[in-house]
Amino acid sequence: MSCHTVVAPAHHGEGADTGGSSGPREAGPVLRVALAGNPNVGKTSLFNRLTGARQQVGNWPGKTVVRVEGLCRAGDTYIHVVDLPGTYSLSAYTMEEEVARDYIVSSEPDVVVAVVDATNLERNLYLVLQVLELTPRVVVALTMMDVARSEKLGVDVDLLETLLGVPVVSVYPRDSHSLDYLKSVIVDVGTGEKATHPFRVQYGPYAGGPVDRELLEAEARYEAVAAIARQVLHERPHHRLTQALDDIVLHRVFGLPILAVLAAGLFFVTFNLSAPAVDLLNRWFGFLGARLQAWVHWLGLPAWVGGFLANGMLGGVGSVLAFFPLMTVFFFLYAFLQDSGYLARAAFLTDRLLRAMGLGGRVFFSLLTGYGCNVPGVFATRIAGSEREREAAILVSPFVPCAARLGVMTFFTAAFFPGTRGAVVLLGLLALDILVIAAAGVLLERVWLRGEPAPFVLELPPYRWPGLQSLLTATWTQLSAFLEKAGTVIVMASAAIWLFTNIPYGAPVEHTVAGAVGRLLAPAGAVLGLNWQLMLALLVGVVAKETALSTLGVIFHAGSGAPLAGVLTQAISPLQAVTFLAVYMVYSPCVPTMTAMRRELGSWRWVVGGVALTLGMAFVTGLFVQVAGRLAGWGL
Amino acid sequence: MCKWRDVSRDGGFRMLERILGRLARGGLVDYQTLAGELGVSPGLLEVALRELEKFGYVAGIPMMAGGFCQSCPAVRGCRQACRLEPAAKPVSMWALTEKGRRHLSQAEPSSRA
Repeated sequence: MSCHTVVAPAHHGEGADTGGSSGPREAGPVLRVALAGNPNVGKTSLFNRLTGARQQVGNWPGKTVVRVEGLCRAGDTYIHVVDLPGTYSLSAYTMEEEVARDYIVSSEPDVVVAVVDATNLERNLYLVLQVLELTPRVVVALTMMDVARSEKLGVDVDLLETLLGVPVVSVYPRDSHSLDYLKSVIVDVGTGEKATHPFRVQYGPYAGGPVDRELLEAEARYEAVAAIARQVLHERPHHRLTQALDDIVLHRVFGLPILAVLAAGLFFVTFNLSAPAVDLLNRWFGFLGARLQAWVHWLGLPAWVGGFLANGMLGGVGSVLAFFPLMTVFFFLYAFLQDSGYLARAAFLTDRLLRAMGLGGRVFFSLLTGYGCNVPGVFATRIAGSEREREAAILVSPFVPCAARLGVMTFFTAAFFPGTRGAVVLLGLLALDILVIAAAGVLLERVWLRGEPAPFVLELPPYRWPGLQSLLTATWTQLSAFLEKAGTVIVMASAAIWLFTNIPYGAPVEHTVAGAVGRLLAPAGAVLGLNWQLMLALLVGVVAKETALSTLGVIFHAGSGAPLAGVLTQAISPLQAVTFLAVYMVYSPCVPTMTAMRRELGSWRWVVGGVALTLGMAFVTGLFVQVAGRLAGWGL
Repeated sequence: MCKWRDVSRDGGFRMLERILGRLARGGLVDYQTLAGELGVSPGLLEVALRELEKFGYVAGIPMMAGGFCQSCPAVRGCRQACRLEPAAKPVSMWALTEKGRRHLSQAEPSSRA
């Protein structure tokens, strides 16, 4: 038996037109065969092997779904093969399902080949049963049998054939014998030489009432699928590696400690690996600042030009850019956790912890998506059942530390606590953030939701070893955003802060415009033990979180020779630094998140309420850290 | 051969009803665990959830897969990896819809167990 290549559509009972390159051939009976199956079961691969490399490609009439067809030969019989779109069912809710169902019902192909992935038999059987309801002339082509064997998944093919009542053929696309056998079976079924007795799900009379008929029919099909699978599968398929790893990382007792260890490891490696490069850059920017001032003096330019370039630009932008190596390591490791499939599990584990604290799980939307970015975290709440649940989930979203905020938190922590101490402080801060999320959730639950449930089913992706290219791309995309911000918002913010700290020019910074604004914030700062400089940095950070650090760089003249970390550790006590970081971690969503909140909640009043909530929670968090620190007699 | 069963009346397999019932109980459950509770493979559970979504009983949202990019105000400057790697397998979440809740409230208590 041999396969021809490209053909024009043939008609049942007529000679097929071989078309183009296949040349003239003798007329013969033509069977019309449709390939049906789930997506990614090897259907297209089988089609290619049956019909050759060249096929006729077009669209289904009136649809945007691609139609591929070809011709092959089995002895004297020509087989015109139509590759139906991959679908999970024939419920005709999607265009692909509609096309597949209509073709089987209206065009009445001589044979439908149901392509079934042996490694996922149970999932595939649902479609097979639906096909058997539409036509008795069915052949089941079982693909991936070699993979099933290697995974030690036993499939009783003979029993499956008996139960389904149609031929079941194991197909190996690379093995021409198995393809020839499949074609011979197709011919036998199509010509009626082989009778079939298809399994039919029997539906009784519909009783009516509140239950949806479609739902009841589907229930009966699922029951049949499960019954067949129980008999023919010797072992239920599952992703062994994923299952084995999940047994460990999602363990009820060990899951959270493993998460803590991994997070600690991530921060430890980030801080220690990048420390020498960060230190070098800090010193380099300090040196450059000193040289700039010297050059300005040498050129005879006004002193304020040197001050602006050294303190304003290098002190501000340089303070942020010095942490470029740290951000590189952090985003690379973060991308690794995300791509490997662990980050979704981290969200799952965090949710488990929050539920143990009495939170109904509704913040999970935000947790899962918010780890990447708070904006999709806000949109993800659309899945929430009730309007109130949705509003509560949106208000909790800004408390989730997104990748960008984590990155900024990381370099902030490194500025205050260089080296391994930074990893410990950051881990403690993240644990505190989980408590804040829980507190905000419980508050909203008590005040707003009053105990409505928030149910979800979550698909956890299988683990995989991330590719280097993918990791580098993800790292660069985050870094380029960071650089873009450094070149725009942070430059402008640094220039503005330098200006406000120099009006009137030459006055002590306490008596400048910036000092006056800082003094307004001082009373709130005094309660938290934060000086006016730190409060001003928090205020500026509302625009873009990174600008808080550049503000400190300008105020403390980090561009004048001394590295920012050195200046900060001299000017600020460790307790002040931790309190600042705790407030910084919680307060105010970024501007895009505010816009998303406005869009989803329909009113700026909600956004103001949300920001007020973050500010209130930030104040309480800072106060908690300050009081706890004082009680412990630490860092005073 | 499979017999017709009115799942609101007897104690049959009732996979879809049990999924809806499990969702109504609240909390978060992953595919593997729920599939284990139902005695089916995660693959079949996925098909069932897709069917329930088509019938309107549950809503699914692809997470971390650029599912919200069209309505995102920050899409122009966004550098999220999910936007740049749409081929990555999306993480899916499913929750009950209003129709699903209504259905369960009309069904007998046994189907919510």
